[in-house]
Amino acid sequence: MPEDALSTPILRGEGGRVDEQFETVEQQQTTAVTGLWVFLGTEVMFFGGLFLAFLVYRLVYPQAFIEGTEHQNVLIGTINTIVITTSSLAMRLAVRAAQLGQRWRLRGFLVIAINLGVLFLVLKGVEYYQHYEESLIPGHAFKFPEPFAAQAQMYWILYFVATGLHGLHLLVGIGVLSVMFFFAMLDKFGPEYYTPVEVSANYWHFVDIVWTFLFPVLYLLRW
Amino acid sequence: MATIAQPVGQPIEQPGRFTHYLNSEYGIRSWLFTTDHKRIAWLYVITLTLAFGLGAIAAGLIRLALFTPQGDVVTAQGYDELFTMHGVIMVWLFLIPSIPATFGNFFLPIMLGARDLAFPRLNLLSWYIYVFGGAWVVAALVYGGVDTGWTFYTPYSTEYSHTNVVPTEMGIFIVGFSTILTALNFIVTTHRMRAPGLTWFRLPLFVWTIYATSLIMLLATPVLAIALLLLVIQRVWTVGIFDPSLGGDPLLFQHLFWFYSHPAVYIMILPAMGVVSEIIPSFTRRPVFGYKAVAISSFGLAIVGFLVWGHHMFTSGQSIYASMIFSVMSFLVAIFSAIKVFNWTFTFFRGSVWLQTPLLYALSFIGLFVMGGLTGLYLATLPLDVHLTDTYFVIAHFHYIMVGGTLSMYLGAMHYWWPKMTGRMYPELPAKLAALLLFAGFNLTFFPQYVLGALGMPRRYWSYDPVYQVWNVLSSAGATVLALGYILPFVYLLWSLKYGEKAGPNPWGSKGLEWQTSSPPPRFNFRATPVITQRPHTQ
Amino acid sequence: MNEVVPKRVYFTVWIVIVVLSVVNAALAFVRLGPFNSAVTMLIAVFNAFLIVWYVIGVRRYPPLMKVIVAIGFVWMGLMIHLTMADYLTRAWSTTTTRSVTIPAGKAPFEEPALGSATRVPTAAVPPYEPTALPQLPGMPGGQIGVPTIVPTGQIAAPPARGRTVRIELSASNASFDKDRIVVPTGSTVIVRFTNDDPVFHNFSVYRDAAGQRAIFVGQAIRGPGAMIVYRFRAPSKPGVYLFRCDIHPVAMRGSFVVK
Repeated sequence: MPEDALSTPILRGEGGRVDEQFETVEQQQTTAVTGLWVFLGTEVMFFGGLFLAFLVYRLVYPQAFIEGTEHQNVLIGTINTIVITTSSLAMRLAVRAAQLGQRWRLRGFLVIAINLGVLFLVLKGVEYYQHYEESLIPGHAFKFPEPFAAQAQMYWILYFVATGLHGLHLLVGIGVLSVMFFFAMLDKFGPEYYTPVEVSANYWHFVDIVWTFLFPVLYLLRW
Repeated sequence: MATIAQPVGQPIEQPGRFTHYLNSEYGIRSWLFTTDHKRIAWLYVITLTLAFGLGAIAAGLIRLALFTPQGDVVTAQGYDELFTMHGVIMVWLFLIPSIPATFGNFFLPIMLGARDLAFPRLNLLSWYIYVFGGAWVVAALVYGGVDTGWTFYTPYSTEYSHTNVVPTEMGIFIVGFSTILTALNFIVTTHRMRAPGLTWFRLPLFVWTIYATSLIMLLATPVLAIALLLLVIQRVWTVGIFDPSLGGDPLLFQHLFWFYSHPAVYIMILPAMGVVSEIIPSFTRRPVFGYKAVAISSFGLAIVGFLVWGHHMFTSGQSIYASMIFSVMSFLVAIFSAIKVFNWTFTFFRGSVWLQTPLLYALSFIGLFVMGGLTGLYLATLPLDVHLTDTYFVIAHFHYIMVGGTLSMYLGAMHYWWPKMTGRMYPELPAKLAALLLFAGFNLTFFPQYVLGALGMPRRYWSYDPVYQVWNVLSSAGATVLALGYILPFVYLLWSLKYGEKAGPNPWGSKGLEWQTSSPPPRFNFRATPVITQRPHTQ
Repeated sequence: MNEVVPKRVYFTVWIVIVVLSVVNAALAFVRLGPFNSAVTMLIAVFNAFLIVWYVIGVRRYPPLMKVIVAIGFVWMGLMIHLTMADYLTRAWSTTTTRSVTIPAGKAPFEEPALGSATRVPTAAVPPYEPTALPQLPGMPGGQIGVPTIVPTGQIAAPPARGRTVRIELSASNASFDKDRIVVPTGSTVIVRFTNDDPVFHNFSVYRDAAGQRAIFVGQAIRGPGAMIVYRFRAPSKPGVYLFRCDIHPVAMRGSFVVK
């Protein structure tokens, strides 16, 4: 960028790691963390709309929704909850490793977090296959004992939309974590620069939090 | 207000060429790949002008069709598609991004004394998303059309419409990301990028309104996204999320939709109020009376705006008790609006008023906004709304706020900040003429619609009872005056880019921080980081 | 936001969340009455709070940042709260009689004329018909979308010969106070149904035990304290029929005996 001295920003030390709009490393870091939280506010409202739709139909069709829930595999659901919680833990330990400059631990924990995320998706896939076998995919092939077929279908639509969107977020998270792993292999992170790891971790925890609510709402409301 | 501190680095006064953001780089690449918030603001200005042109053409055709009772210009289907096109383009492609994405983008960092927004690349990405989604929406509307109206009410949009509903909704879904990312950028910038000494209660009022607007964008847009997503799933997958015959509740869609779309009205009007709060102190030479009250009322509007969405659903079958609550809360909006209007008016008292074009726009805003706001109280009154709902009264009310308010101030801001953005002055005489034309044309167009609504003419029909023709002819005639009023600034502003006289750094003698830097501003806005010691516009 | 947190904080939170999740899943199979949903959701909220507060470390954020973190959740609450203000009060406006006081010993309602809509009593008739009252689950007979139900509160047959019987029926804790109703053949049955539960119930009569062929399907009302009057004609053939609540068909059912 050909700029003359008049319009050049005054860069403060820090080895050029500060983008041109910031004054200090610290400002840059807090800005990134704030930015992600503001974005998560949006995400909360996005899933909030979905939870609202679920709540409304749960109130209107209690019996049908209970019968729909009874087709869920609580065992896989519980295992998946543990898987995603553990993945969350691994990711936070990765941030800690970056803060302490432990390069190999950082890489190791990132690998664990990514793989547990993949395992979650695989288990979810197994569940989807079971639903397919039981003809629980909404649409023309949907089969459910009367008299609640139409109302239970509502439960299954919301179930697939909610878990599908959550899975999509998880997939994005796996992508982000893979990029972090790539940079970790290049030794980009250390005690003085680990903001991207922390921001990705916060996103990863958010995906975990969404599941923390989806699991009881979709699997456990049986009475 | 601001004292420019001693330079921290060593800025070298370079003799010779004066450099600023417009001439620091050249070429098409330097625009399309820029991360400079000021250049991105210009990209938005260009695309928004195109979108406004399209929406305005649709509006012109609607008024032409309504010239005669039997609708000679378009078919019934064509009329439905026209008003949908007008609504969708004007709401999502023009009004929502209008002032925030252009003047907010340009002046928010400057008013904060920052070098750029917090995430400059994200800012550019939002523009690309906007262009992509906007082109998608326009393509869906032009090739095939949509006839559901901009509200996409179920079950029109799910069972009965065989037009491009799904592509339009997906396009709006995409544009929503642009809105959210812009809002995120503004909020984080306001929190983290303020110059030394710039505390919250020293922020310019324009920044307050942009911040409040961003808050609404951020919290409301995702709800629209999920509502549209569920609607698309219902249509594509043929399952019954909002379909009563399959056990769904169409009112749930309306709840989700209006949870976004009512606050969206405040997305549109709040930035306009911010511009008024900047123009009035500049041209009366006084800080805004009751600065704190005006600042906080922006937040009040943003929050209360979220609590009143049910007043769009009074006649929809919503519980009457919920309607009562929503009706009462709708009146709260009037309190915060009145705080602003009274304080602006008091600012003139003992001020030394300089009646230039921007102030003309601000004055017309106050008048038209009061008119639109007071008729809003009629509509918030539960029993009266049952009579007035879905009539031209609603159309007139909405346009008084959106056209008389937001669009007036978009042009007002354009004139006020034109010298700063381009370094040139616009010609004053045609500008004043255009402002007067707009005011007259606007009232001629939309005041008759209040009368039509009170007489009971329903909205969204291509033909009407001949008894309404006189008022409709008046309204259509006003629309031509209004069109002239829009074309005129377009011409002389373009003209002034080359032939306008050079503006100094501060042609208005304003105390605002943005006027303390050169015109046009340098690439990073200030030669040295300013230090703020006072409230804005304090003498 | 930068200090390094001891590992044991993270591990403790992890153990608590795993244990609570397993407990939560197990509780779903234990009947706790009305507390099931509440306990389940409380555990979820607690787990989410642990992650936000300790793992992400929001407890160390400055106050304004805490507000930013909280605002999405608060707004979601606002949205749900105000939407529920609609859904949970919708039934009141059409059928409830909570504001009508009836002197003891008197007939609680005017006997409605046969053949007319008898949504009685109407404390406050709203100026419009609710278009989106919850569709009744388990609509008997026919295709979904082609409801074969008798319109609410209207009689199912031409004006009757025979007698009129009055029946008091109430529902509380998801059960009817009667499991057997006896009426003469061909009589006009007037059921005064009181719902004391905060959820929707209705009253319907079917020819078969599976609830497929309806004789009468009543409109659902939501309590507590809501009341509606149903009016229909009993079958002319003696026999044992089914009556039930269509929303809770398993828990709330009984014999409708015609003789």
